[in-house]
Amino acid sequence: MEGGPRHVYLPPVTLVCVGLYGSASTWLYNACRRVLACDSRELRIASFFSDRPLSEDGGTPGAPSPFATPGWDAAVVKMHEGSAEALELINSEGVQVLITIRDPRDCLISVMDRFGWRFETALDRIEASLRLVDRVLQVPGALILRYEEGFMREVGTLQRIARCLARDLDEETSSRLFAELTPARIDGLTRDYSANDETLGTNPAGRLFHRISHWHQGHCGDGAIGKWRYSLRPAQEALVRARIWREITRLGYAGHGR
Amino acid sequence: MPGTTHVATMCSSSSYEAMRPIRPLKRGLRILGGRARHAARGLERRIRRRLLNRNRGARESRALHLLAGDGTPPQTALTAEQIDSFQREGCLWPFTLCAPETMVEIREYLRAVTLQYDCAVEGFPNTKWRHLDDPVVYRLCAHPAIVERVGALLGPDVLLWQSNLFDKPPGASEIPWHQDRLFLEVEGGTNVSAWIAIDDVDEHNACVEVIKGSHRSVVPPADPSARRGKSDRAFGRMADPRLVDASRAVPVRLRAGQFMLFHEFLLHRSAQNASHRQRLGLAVRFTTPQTRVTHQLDAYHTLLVRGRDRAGINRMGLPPAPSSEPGS
Repeated sequence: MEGGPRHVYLPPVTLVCVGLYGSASTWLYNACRRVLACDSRELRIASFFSDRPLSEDGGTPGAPSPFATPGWDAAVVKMHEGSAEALELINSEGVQVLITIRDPRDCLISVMDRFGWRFETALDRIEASLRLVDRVLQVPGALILRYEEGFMREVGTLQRIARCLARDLDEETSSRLFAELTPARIDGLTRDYSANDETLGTNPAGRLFHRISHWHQGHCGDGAIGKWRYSLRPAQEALVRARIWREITRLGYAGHGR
Repeated sequence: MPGTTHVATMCSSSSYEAMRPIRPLKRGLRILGGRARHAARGLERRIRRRLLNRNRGARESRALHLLAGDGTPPQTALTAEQIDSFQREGCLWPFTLCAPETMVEIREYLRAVTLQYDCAVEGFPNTKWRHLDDPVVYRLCAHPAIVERVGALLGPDVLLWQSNLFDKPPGASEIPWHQDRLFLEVEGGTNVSAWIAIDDVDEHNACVEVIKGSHRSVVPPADPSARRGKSDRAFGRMADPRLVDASRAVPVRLRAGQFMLFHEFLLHRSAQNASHRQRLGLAVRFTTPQTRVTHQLDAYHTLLVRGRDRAGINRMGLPPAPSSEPGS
C-alpha cells in the first residue's frame, strides 16, 4: 500500500487455510466456514480465496477485504501461493493456520487433470505453493492435515477444526455439516451452476466456480494416491526431482518414490 | 579386454588375419552381451522391487498397527529417582516399547522391507536416517514410550534428528569404546540417545556395553594415525583405550522391544558378535530445538516430536507419510 504503513483490522477469529494445489484445501476452507457459521451468535464472517488477502477484495468483486474495514467477527482465507502480505497475516498474533498437504507429485497430476495446466505451468505453481507451505509449516499451533490420511472423509476433522477455534461441535452438528461436504453434494451443487450467475467465475480450465465457496465444476477428482507413478514421464520425474525433491522429503514423501 | 588379448596372442598372424571379419561381430556380441547382462540385472532389480512393493503396503500397515498398540497409553513417566540416576550414571534401562512378540513382526518388516532399500534421502545407505523415509522406523523412533521419557530428561521440546539401524550379524566386528558426541553433527545442546533392541541382545550377540558415570568427562580420542583400515577414519575418534577402565563395563541386556536411554558422553562399545544370532538395534538421537543440527544435505530436515520449536534454527519437516493409508 502506498502512503505509509497499512492499517489492518484483524477480525477476532481469523483462519488461514494454506494448501498445496489439489490437496483438498477447498474442502478444508469450506469446512472452516461451516464450523464458524454454527456459532449461535450471528457472526459477520468474511471468507474468500486470495494470495494477497490484505489488499485484495473479499472474493466477490467490489466486496471490501475484511482486513481493510472494521466490524467483521471472523475471516476465513484460503491461499495456495501466498505473498509478503499473506505471511504478514499468517504471522499475526491470534491467527489460526490450517495446512493441507499431499504428495506434491500427485498434486501436479491433479492440477494438470483438473485445471488443464501444462506440466511446466503445473510444476511452477506447485513449487510456489510448496514455498508457502515450507514457510508456514513451523507456525506454532498450525493444524496440518495430510490428504493421504483422508481427512476430508472423516467427520472428526470438523471436530478438530472446532477444537482449534476453542469451540465444541456435537456429533449431530458435525454429521450435518459433514453431509454438506461430501463429493456427491458438491457435484450436485456444481452441476447446477449457471453461466449467468454473478456469484460465479471461470477458472483456468474454463470451468465455473463459486466466488465464495470456490467449488468448481469437476472439483472432486479421483483422489487416487500415487497416481504420479503412472502419469509422469521419466523426464518429467527427473525435473520434479531436480526442482522440488527437498520439499517432497520435508513433507514426508521421500519414501513413496519406489 | 583380457579376452581380446588372449585371442590375439594365441593366433598366428595368418589366422589372426582370417579372423578380422569376425572381430566386429565378436565385439558386437560382447557389447550385446554386456547390454544383455545389464538389462537382465535391471529386470531382476525391477522384479525384486515389484515383489517387495507388492507386500510392502500390507506389511507396513501391519507394523504400524502393531506399534499403535491397543489404545492403552504406554508407560512413559520417569520417576525422580530415575532422573537422578540418569544424571549420575548417564544411562537408564530397561524400558519397554513393545512386547517381544510384537517386535518379532516389526523385525520381519525391517528386514524384508526397510533394509532392502537405501534411504530415499540421497547420500544415506539402507541403515541410516530411515526415520525420514520409512514410517515404521519413524514410529519406532517417535514412540511415546521413548519420547515422553526423553522429554523428562531434555525438557518439553524434543527434536528427533538422527537414527541408525545397527545390523550386527554373526561375526561382525567390534565397535570400540567411544562417546557419541564426538561423532554428532550438532552445535550446542545436549543429546540423549535411545537404543532399541530389535533382537534380544546380551553378551553373546554383542549387546551394547556401557561404563556408568563416564559421561561426566570427555575421554580424548585415539590418535587417528595409530590405526589403519577402512573404517579407521571413524575409529580415530574412538576413545583412547588406555584411558578407558574396561573393567567397569556393564552389558546392557535387553529383550526385543526394550530400550535404553543414554547420554551423549557415555562411554559405550559393542564386542564382535561371536554368536550365531543376529543383532539388530535402532539408535535414535534426540536433542532440543535450540541445538543447531549442522548436517549439510539439502534434503535433510529435523522432526519435532514433542513440544514446540521456539528457536526456529533448524529446518523442520513432517514424518514420513505411510504409503498404505486409506485415501485412494
